[in-house]
Amino acid sequence: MMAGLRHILLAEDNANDIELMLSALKTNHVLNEVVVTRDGAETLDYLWRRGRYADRPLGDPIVIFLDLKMPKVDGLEVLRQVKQSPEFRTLPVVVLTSSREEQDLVRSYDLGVNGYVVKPVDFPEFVKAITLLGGFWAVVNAPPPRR
Amino acid sequence: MRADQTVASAKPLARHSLRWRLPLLIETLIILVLVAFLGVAYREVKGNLWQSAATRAQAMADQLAGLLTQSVQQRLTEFRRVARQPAVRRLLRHPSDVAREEGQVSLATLTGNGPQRIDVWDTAGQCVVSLSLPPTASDLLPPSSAPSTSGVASLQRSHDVVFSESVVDILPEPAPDGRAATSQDRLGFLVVRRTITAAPTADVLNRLVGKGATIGVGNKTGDVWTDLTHAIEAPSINLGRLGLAEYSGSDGQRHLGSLADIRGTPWAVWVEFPHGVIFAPARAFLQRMVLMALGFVLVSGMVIAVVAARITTPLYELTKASEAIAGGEYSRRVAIRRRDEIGRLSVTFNAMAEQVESAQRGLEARVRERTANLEQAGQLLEQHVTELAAVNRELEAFSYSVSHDLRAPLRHITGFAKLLEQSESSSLGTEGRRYLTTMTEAATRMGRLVDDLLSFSRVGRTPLARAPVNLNHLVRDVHQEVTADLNGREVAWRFHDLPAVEGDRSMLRLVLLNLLSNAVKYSAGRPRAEIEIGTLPNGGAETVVFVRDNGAGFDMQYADKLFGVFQRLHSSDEFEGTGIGLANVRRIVQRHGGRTWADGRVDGGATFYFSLPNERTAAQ
Repeated sequence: MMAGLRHILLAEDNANDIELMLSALKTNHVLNEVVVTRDGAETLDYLWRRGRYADRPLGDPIVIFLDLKMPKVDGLEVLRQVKQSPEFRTLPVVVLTSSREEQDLVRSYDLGVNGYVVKPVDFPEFVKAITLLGGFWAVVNAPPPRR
Repeated sequence: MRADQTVASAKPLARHSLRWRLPLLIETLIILVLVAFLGVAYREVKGNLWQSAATRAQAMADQLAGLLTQSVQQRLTEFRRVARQPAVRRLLRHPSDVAREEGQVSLATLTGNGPQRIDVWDTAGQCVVSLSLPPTASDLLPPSSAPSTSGVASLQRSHDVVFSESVVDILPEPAPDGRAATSQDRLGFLVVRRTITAAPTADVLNRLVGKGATIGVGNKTGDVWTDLTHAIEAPSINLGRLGLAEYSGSDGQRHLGSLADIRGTPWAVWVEFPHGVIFAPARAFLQRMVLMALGFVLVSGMVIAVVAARITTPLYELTKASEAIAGGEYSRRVAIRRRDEIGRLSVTFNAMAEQVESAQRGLEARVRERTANLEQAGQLLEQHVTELAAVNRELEAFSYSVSHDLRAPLRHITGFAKLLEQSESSSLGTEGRRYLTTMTEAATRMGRLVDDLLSFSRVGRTPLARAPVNLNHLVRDVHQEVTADLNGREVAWRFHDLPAVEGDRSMLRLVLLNLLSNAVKYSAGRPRAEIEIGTLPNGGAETVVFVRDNGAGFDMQYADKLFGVFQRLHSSDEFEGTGIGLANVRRIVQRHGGRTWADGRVDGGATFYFSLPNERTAAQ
């Protein structure tokens, strides 16, 4: 891990998707560390340093890649809590989802999402999308200052 | 509400009620008959009175004329007797003072009822002697002129005194042979003038004709007339015609009278009655009759009122009861007091009211029942709506889950196939790599099918947002999108002017996008593709839009299959696609209340049509 690079938080319950995602990021040489949380509750615990993340060493992520369909607390609820909290409301959140349901799109933007990406079925397309995302949010975009 | 109705209907009832109109009608008829009867009777009585007055006037006039004629003749006879006196003849033959005195004594034997003046004239026109009786009469009767013939002269007048003048011949004694002397032998004239007005005979005569009648005597020439007391005007009738006559007097009254001749004189006598006197009994009769009629009207009015009340009161009660029932008071009944037709009407009315009341009760019960049923139906409907909403929610959840859950595994298949290909490319043979490619393509295709299925479901579910849509703008917009993917192909577009329609803009855009991209897609094999968009000349209830191309066309035998879900007439190798586009077109157009159809020929191009109703009658 390179010093000074802030990590990416990937909230995703599906192991296959996690593997494909990591593979795609690796293929494109995104060097930021990727922390994976497996459901919404875990994601919230991670951010607010609760439960087993009470004493996590790292600082806050540079971006959250958020799946919408997750067990316990779903992605929209995570988005709502993040965007309404004083500490994380400036943290960029990009929704990564399989579905193109209009209601999800509308609600996500209502809640203040920074990006909404429908994962393509075709793998090369998927890799292309992840490359763009990772490159932009982890490298190009200037994140809000650390707290 | 009910009280208002009663008040409102009571007012016209008072004016139009039979209670008042029936007695008034009968009473009016009675009065009319009485007036007609009185009129006829009055005329009859008047006619009779006139007739009897005429008869009376004629009889009296004739009678008086007879009396007066007789009286005049008697007086002439008397004058002739005096004229034959020797003393009177002597007076003319040997006029001397002695002879005058003797003559005056003889003349004085002529006695009359009133003042008179007697003159004796000789044939030479000399008044020999003159005598007034009483002596004051000379003032009343002025001296006369010398007479030339004997007879009764016209009446004369001096101031208010009217007098007669009779002249007889004074003849010599008859000859010894007995031949009577004639007027040629006369010695002179005896002239007697007597007042008529002062004669006491007036009273006698007036009594004779009776009260109310007026007598007039005068010359037939009309110059001097008297009522036997004073000088009067002659009646304004034709004095040359004897008998009945009528005239309007200076008092404005009509007078009826009769004129009779007094024979031997130039005089006539007139007896008359004023109409006022003649018809006085008729007026009295009329007064009595009117009084009696008034009494009769009064009594009959009371009787009619009582009788009419007996008839109309039950009718009035029936009317009030009917109004009460009409106003909703269904338990109202009328009392039955009689056994005649009205009594039977009351009985029938009560029976009818009974039926109305029971029918009303039945109706109310039915209304309650129906209301209950309706409420039940409403609840059922509400339940169905709730259920339907639940089903809809389930459907939403299903499609959400499908889109999400089906796509993820497909993505995993393609993803891991790729990873496999990358990591094991050296150990995989050509065959193995082809399998992996096929797997990836199949999964990708399935992903597209899932997407299409979801879009088709969305097209059916999303509510229509209806608004006026300018089809020209929409076509231009879609045209731009379609030409972006042409990859240098040449297409000749022909756009006709399209009307504005009413519908959901984004859905109609999808329709045009499908039709235009189909046209582009299926004309790909043509060196120069031609695409035309326009409307059919169908200015009626709907707008028909067509999209025509000169592309691959289709076999009309399968025209019905064109619009089915995932139905295709060409293989994916020829033209790519899943077969959802036209299904979406049909679904959207149907939801707008329109129709879709197509014309085509294999290799001869195709024309797709859709219609939209021009009025807002489309089902949602």
